Amino acid sequence: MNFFMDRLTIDLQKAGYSIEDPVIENISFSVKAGELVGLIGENGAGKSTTIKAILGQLPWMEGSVSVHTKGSVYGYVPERPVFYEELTVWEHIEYCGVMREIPNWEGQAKELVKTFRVEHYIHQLPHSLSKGTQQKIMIILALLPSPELLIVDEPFIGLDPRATKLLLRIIEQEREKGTGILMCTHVLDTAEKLCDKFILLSKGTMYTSGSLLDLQKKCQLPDGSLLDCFDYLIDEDPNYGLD
Amino acid sequence: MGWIEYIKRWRKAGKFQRKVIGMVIDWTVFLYLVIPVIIALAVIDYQLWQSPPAWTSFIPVHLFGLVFFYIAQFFSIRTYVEQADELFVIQKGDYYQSLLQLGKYFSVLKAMLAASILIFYFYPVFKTGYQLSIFTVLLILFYVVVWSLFRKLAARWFSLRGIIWRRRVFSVFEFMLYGIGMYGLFHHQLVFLSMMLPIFGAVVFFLKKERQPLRYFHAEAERERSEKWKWAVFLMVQSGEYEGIKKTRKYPLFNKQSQGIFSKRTPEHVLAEMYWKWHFRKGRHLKFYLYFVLFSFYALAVLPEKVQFFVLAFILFAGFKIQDGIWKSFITHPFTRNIGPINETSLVKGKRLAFLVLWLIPCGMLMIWALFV
Repeated sequence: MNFFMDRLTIDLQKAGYSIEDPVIENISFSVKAGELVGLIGENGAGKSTTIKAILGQLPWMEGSVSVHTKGSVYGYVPERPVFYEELTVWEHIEYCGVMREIPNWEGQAKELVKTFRVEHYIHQLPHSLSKGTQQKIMIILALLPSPELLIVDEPFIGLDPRATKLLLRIIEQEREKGTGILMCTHVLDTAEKLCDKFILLSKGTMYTSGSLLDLQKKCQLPDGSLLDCFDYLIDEDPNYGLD
Repeated sequence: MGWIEYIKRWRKAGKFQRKVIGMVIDWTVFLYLVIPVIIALAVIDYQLWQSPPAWTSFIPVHLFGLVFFYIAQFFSIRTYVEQADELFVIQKGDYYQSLLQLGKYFSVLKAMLAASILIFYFYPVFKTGYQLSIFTVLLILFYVVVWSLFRKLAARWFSLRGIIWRRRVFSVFEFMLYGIGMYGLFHHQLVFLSMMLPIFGAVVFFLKKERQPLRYFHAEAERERSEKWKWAVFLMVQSGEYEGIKKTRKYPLFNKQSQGIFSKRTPEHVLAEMYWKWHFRKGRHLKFYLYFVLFSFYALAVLPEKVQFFVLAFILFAGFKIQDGIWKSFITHPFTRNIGPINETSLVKGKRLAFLVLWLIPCGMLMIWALFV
C-alpha cells in the first residue's frame, strides 16, 4: 500500500449555497493514506460547509474536490445521526450495503455490529435508540464499505466513554490499514493526541495548517497545547471577529 | 365597545390564518386538488337534482341524518382572548365578558352558516330522494344547528374546567342521543322533543353570561392559543416541517425481525422494498394517496361516460405525479444522500418496480373498473 498517496485533495476557491453568498473560500489541503487530519475552528468557521463541499452537497462551488479511492468510495459519519425514521437499523445497514454494492456486506456488518455491541438494537427503529447508539450505527454504516477515506464530523459528541474509547481504537486501526481520515471536531485535547495534521478554519477561510509542532512554532509556544495555539492564532489576528 | 375590539381581533386572526394556508397552498394544490374537488362536488350536486340517488330507497332518512353530526362541526368558538389580556383587558370585567359573549354569538352564526350550506347541498336528497317537506328540512337544519352548538359549547365548558376523560365518555353518549333524536324526528315526535328540548336548554345555558369568567382566564387564553395554531400545526406536521408529539415506536408493526419481502436481494429489489416499507410505515403519504384513489373511484362512478376518458387520463397522470413526488422525498432523504452515489440502472429499475405496485396496479384497477364496469 502506498502510504504517501493522497486519498483526498481539496482546492476550493469559493463555495456556498448561492453564487452571491459564498460561505467558504480559499481552502486547500489533502489527506494522505493513513493520515488523520483534524479540521478545527470555532462555531461558524465553515467546517461543516467544507465537509458538505467534499460530499458534493453544496449547490455552488468553484474549485475541485478529488477522492482518490477505489470506486471513489468513502465513509461519512455526519454530526447528527440521520436515518429514515420508518426503517429499522438492520434495514438501513442492508440498504446501504446492497445499494453501494459492497461485496460480503452482511458478514462485514455482523462483525461491526458485534464490535460496537449493538446486536440487541438492530431490529429497532433508530429514533427509539439513544443518541450514542445512533452515532454508533452511523459509524458502522460508514465503515461498512471498508473505505479508504473516512470523513467524520464531530464523532465524539453523544458517545459514552467506552464507545469513545472504542471509536479511538477503530480510528487507529483504520489509520494503520491506510485509511485517510478527515475529522472535524471541537474536542481539541483528543484531536491533539490523534491527528497528524490540523486545518484551522476561521471565518470561512483556511487560517493555517500543519502539525502540532508547526503550529507551536508559528505561535512561539514550544510546549503549548493545541488549544493554546488555537487561542493564540485567533487572538493574534487584530481583525478577528470584525466584519 | 367590546365588539370593536372583537372585530379587530377577528380580522387579524383571519389574516393570520390566510397566511398559514398561503404557506402550503399554491397554484399546484389548486390545480390538482381544490379545483377538481369543487368541480366534482358541483357535478355530484347537479346529478342529485336530476335524479335521486338509488341508495335513498334502502338507507332510512334518520340514518342519513347521522352523517351531519360530524360534518356540521366545521367551525370553532373563538373569543380571541390572549395571554397578554392579563395586563389590561381583564381589569375591565364587562369588557372581557363582552369578548367572551361575542365569541359565543359568532359561533351561533358560524354553526347556522355551516349547517345551512350542508343542508342546502343535500337538499335534493331530502326533496327528491326522501320527499320531505320544506318544514321537515328546516327542522333537520334547526336540530343540526342546535347539536353543533351544543357540542362546541360543551367542549369549551369542559376544556376550561380541565375535564378531559369525562368529556370523552360524554362525547360517546352525545352521538347516541343525537341518533335517538334524529330517529324521533321522523318516527316519534315525543322522543324527538325529549331529546331536543334539554339540548336546546343546555345551549341557552352555555350562551348565557358566565358568572366568574376571570376564574378561567388562563384556560381560555390557552384554548384560544391552540385554536389559533391548530391549522398551522396541522399543516406543518403534514408537510414534515414539524414533528408534532408522537408515540415513539420501538419496532415497526408486524415486523420485529426486519423481514424482507423479496428473497432476491438485488439493489432494485431492496430499493423498491425499502420504499414500500418507508411509504407504508410513514402512513402520511399513503393516507393521502388512498384518499386520492378513493376520490378517483367516486369521480369515475358518478361522472357521465362522456367525460370519463379525460378524467381517467387525469387520474393516471395525477397518480403518477403524486407517487413521483413521494418517491423524490424518499430518494433525496439525507440518509440516501450521505451514503454516496447509487448505480443509475438500479435506481431506474427499483423505481419501476416500486411504481408497479403503488401506481400501476391501483390505477390500472381503476382503469379496468372504469372501462368495463
